[in-house]
Amino acid sequence: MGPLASLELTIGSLAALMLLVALCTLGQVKLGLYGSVDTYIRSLLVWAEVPGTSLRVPVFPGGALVGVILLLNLTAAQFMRLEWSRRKAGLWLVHLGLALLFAGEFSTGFFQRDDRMVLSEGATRSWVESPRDLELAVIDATDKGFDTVYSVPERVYSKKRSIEQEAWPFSLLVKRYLPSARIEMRQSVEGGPASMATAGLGPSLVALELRRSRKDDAPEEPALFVEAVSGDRSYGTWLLSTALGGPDPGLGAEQGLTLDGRQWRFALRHRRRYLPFSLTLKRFTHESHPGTDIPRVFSSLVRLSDPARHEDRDVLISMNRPLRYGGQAFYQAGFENNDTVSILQVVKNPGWLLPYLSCVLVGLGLLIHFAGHFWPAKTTQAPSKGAGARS
Amino acid sequence: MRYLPLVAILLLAAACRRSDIEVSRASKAPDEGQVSAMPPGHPAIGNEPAAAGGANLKWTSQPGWKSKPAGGMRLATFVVPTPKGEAELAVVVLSGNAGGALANVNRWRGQLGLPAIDDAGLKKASKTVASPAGTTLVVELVGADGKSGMLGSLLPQNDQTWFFKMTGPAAAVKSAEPSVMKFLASLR
Repeated sequence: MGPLASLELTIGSLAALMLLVALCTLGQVKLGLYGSVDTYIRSLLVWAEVPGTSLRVPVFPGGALVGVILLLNLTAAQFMRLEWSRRKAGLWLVHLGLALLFAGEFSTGFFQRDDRMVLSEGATRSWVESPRDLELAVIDATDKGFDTVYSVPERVYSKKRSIEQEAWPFSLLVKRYLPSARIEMRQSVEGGPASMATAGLGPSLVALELRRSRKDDAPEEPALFVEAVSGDRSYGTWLLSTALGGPDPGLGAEQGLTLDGRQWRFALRHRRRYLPFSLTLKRFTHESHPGTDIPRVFSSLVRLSDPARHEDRDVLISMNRPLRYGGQAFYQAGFENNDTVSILQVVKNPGWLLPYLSCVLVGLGLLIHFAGHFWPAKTTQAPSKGAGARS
Repeated sequence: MRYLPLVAILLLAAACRRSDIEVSRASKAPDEGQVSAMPPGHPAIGNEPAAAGGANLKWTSQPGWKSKPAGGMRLATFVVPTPKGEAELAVVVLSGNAGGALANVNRWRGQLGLPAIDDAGLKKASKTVASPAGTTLVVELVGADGKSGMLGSLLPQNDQTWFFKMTGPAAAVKSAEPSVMKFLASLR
């Protein structure tokens, strides 16, 4: 317990945190805000590539690991240094509150999911999507009532050559992954590279690799060539890209194959999370202050429908009045397309109560601590007051 | 031994990895107005034979139309000014049948918050325009919100499908319809 409770460890951890904050700030130039925060702050270890190789090694503890060490350090020091008495009860509560604040940040960092729901007026959605994370979705769409969705995260398809699942009658070979690409019609690119794609939309298109920008305000459109194979047999190679989900005619078409009576679809898209209930946007309202463009009211009137819990009601979501339902909060975040599309930010954080609880504990602890000092001080000061009055 | 707890934390951190492939079940029924959805049960565009290239179509741009530089997945884009506002016409060509007329029309309907229709409904809701290049199928749609409009058309030619889709405020699209019909009749 000795080294874990040491002041040197506290100072070392705080110094490491300061360095991480500085590195994270500088790292935003190359990695963007979220990329840098994920690399330096919300990671257990900071990894770096050995020059000239693709080998990655840990070079520094990440913010999460330093936070764990600091929390253990605080806890150990608490038990070793602070006496367990009524007089110190307030301080114990304050420290417990601080520890909860740490725990709340860990919960947020590791378990919070920030997604969005984009709804046009009249549309119903029972899923949300991540604005940043992508997935290679392999969908078994055979059943008339539901789809079985296999979500392959970017860290898998960007590194693995072959992706398999027991339920799939094929393997997917990743033939080429372009983290940032521009998709053009083949007719409009003279002398464009021959397409790897042999099926779906790909043969009509050209995927041109772009230099990665990693800018938060200019999202990249990745492209992926995947081939479905079984043994020696190839069923085709598809070009998948987030750019293919756009509103242009023909390009929203889902791609895939039918094999042994089962329908399989492939898509590269923003990672989806399916909800056990649905929302329908009935009306979106956007009002500005008279004579200005300054927004006065943004609100979405939605129909919440959850047959399993017998919920079917209208809810008005506005800027500071989120809908809290099913363990998540739906905030009014934006709008587009001439005020006919509403964008809701959907936050799922199992530890959302922890910061509030922490504030209550710290407040209560400080109250008890100072009240304990206040009363004895008052009784000792009383005689001197009397003396002053006499003189 | 003094630093054993710290070493244990480091090892735990290095070993900590999330699972790879997540499996979930998504209901098809309540999800309407989905941009990329095809009608339930419709086969995906898959490993049918696909040919790249092919002859380009030619057309006559209409008076007042402004051409925007081609780019992205559009072969051409026209801004069509009308007394009721501006509409935009996009031209895209894809190999094969690109899912067919019904799937594409239903996808467009979904984008406007309208329910899907069947073959009989498509026959009722569509018209055709003859041109030297072939017969173009045209559907005019007004969104569930009553504000947005679309004039979608597609022309199968050789082993390609040409799409001409005008979008904009419903009144502007309606106003631009006669000039789009002339444009489609000029395809060659």
